[in-house]
Amino acid sequence: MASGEWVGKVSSWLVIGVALLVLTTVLLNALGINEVARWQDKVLLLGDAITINSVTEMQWHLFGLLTLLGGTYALHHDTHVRVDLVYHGLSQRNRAIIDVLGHLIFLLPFCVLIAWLSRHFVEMSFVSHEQSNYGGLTDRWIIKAALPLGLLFLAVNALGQVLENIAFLLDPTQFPDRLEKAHAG
Amino acid sequence: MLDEYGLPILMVVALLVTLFTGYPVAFLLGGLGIVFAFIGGINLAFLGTVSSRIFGGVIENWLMIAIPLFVFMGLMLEKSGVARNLLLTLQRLFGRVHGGLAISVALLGIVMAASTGIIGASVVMLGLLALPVMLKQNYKPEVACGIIAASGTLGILIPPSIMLVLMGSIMQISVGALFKAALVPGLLLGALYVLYLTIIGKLRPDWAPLPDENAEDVDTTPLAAALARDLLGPVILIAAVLGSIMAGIATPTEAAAIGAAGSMLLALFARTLNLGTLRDVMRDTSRTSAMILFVVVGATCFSVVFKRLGGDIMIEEMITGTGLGPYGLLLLVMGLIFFLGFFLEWIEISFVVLPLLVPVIAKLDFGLGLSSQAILVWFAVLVAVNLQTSFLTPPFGYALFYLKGITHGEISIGMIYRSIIPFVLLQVLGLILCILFPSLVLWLPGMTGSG
Amino acid sequence: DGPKSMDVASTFATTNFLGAGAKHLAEQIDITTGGAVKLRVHEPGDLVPPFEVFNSVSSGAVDAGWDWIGYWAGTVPVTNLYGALPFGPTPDAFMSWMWAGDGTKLLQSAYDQYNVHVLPCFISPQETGGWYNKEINSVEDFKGLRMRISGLGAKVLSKLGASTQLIPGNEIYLALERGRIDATEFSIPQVDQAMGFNEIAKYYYFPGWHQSASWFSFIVNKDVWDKYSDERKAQMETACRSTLQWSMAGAAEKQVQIIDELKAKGVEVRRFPDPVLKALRSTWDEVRAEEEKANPRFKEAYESLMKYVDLNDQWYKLQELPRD
Ligand code: NA
Ligand code: NA
Repeated sequence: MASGEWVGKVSSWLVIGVALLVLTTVLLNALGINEVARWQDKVLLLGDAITINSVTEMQWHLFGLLTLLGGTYALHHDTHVRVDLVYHGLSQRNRAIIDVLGHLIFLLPFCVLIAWLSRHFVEMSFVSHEQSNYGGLTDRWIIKAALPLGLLFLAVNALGQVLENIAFLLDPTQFPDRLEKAHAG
Repeated sequence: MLDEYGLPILMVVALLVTLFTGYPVAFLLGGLGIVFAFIGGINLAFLGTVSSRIFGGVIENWLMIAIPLFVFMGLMLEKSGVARNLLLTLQRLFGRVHGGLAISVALLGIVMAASTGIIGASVVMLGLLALPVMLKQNYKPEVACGIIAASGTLGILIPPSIMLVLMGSIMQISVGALFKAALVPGLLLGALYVLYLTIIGKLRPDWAPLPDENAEDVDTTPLAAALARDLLGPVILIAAVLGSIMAGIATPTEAAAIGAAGSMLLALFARTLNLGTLRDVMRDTSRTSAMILFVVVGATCFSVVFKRLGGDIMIEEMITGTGLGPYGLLLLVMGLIFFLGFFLEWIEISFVVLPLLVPVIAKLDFGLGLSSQAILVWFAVLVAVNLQTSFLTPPFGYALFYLKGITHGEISIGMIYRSIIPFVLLQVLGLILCILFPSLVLWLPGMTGSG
Repeated sequence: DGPKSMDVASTFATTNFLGAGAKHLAEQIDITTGGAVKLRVHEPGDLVPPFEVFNSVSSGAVDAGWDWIGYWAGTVPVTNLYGALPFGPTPDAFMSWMWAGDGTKLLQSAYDQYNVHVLPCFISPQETGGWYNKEINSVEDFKGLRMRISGLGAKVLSKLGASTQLIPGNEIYLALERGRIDATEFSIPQVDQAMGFNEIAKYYYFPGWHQSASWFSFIVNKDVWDKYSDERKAQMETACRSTLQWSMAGAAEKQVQIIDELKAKGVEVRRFPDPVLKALRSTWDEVRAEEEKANPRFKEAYESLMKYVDLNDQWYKLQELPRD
């Protein structure tokens, strides 16, 4: 099983996490509670306290991971939106050609280049100990680093599809599933 | 113009051409941005803005959290059968009227519009709820898709609305006044949809068939009992979502989580919630919301490069270079926004076009005896009604993409494109009514001037 | 001799006073450089989202930015002092420290490692104490108060038992209208009025204890800045000083006119009772002590500022005349 597939399955549970965190914020707000806990030594991400703002910020931290990893998961299930007026009627062979070219010309350069150019953005966050100005989470670099890593993960999985599609184009008989689909469709 | 703005024009053409290869839109947008950055000789460092834009526009954008939550709610209601029962029973309310089911969908869309302003979420949720039921009942797919996409986009016009808040801050006009001003036009569009569906039901009953009375699974429970059984839960759920916003317990974004939790409770009561369902809903939610959000990720790269290559100046020159009178200019601007809506997103349009127009429009005298504030409010709502169409107009309409994304290949994008034509025309009709009768907009905020 | 035009990412819409400063600076630079340097001011989000401006100027992705200095406190904590210093000096005293004292030098030294050159070109009058839907009669009323406020002022209020939180700009209006929050601070009356807060909040409190003056700046990527000749740099600095003067001229008068308009619309203008202000002051002293301990750069800047303000005060005390 491709890595994007099982990682996606696992990361999909983050939805529940996001929902629970939002409900926690609503509850804390209704009760007028700001600080949930405070302690002495700083720990990763949480700093030295949990406040309503840590909970709020944790929502979009999880949401960000869910989205980035979900993008790769959707790639494996081919659920990214296609304008399929033409694609719809194409043979499996032609579809494979379009996907190989598309990945090589569009997806891979986009992911790799943007990931590469994110260096400064992550580095600066790390060097400056960037953190919330609302008394929320610390170590903003973690979620910032997730962006280039997420894009690279997508690129690696897309590269896997490129190789698979090339293999299919060279020797379709090795892929009985796809041929059947083509005949059925 | 062609030599000066060759690259931005070429970029749009390249997008149109490559879209039709069927390669995923999200990656196409991102990739074209990179390709044109190289063609245009944009320095590499500038593309660093794309990481910032993805981070600020998607990951750190708290408002986007509502998308997976509403998608979860929709999927949970669908997979647990709650949604299906609700719609079928609602339809029985309309008795044996052709188009009754579609009208139910439109009404549900209006209610959702009043609870949220997130297009992706409401289109996806309505689509998940209603499309399978409508198709099973042999609705013409064009009618089914059209009403779902159209009523799903009402959320951006009917308050509360993120778009109006943003417009208020760009144009420096009161958000409260904008909310009041947009309500009547929003409901007007909803009413036009219902009217259209009623006419369809009369003229082309085969497009909107009645449920099969002889079907095995036909519901024989008395209507009152069915209503109590199927309507009560969802009504409480919608009331909880809306009510938590009204009562000040939650922001619209947070209300989405209340909806998600509530949908699980409903499924639990319906005895259809188990670990398998939960797991499926979660996986589907993850892929569906990533599908929506990756279009935003790609688009943010495309648009920053488009602007860098002079695309925004090109648009600016198109507006300011004419010598038209007030109504002429208004029509030109409306036409331009409609046209831009084919390719750009409302956020881009609002930010590019509105700041250019505010000083010009505020000074125009339409002979209506309105203050410049009232004219701006009227204008903002006209733009907002107009921008509704941008979600629906191909090739680049978010509502269409979202709808396509959840149909898993049962419905072709061509069919979806055809489906929205009548609804776009209805929106244009609504826009014309608001231009001809400014009091539709200005009556509620009490801004109808002296004339 | 440096690029002929610079892209400037603004953190505020240029249609409001705060963002209009960028437009004004652009005009001034056009004049002082005789058209040799043009600024192209971009609306917030046009190039990068507002909170990413500093980072993008630092990396060189964007040439320059127009910002409220306090936005970068998550990255450069000392900017809290320039953006929103509770119980700080008045705008004119702050201005002297920035341009005649060490203010700009200290800020620049904090920005050096990020490769950003800073020109503080705009100061807004004191902000207001904020929009409230609950009365504040005693310091007890802060307990459980849900308020949108950030930075050092938020630390003070949260010590007093308030739930200070972040609500994104676009959702403040709704959150306050529906009562999801009880209060919000925003900006000066001129800007607040345009947000329509008067329609949804009962009380408009003064004084803005959490922010006595607040600075806005023109930041430029250092590699870009260093390409300009000394003459060009001086011309741009002149334009910056002229913009600063423009921002200060008439600012206070304008706010009072707007407050009168707001009153006519039914807004109740209130003042925090003196015991409440005293309690805020003493809590601020605690917060400041913690801040100084955690952040030496802040301590250095704060001491330098206060020494300067003290001299300033002494002078005005010597010169004090009876007013009526
Ligand atoms: Na809405
Ligand atoms: Na469109």
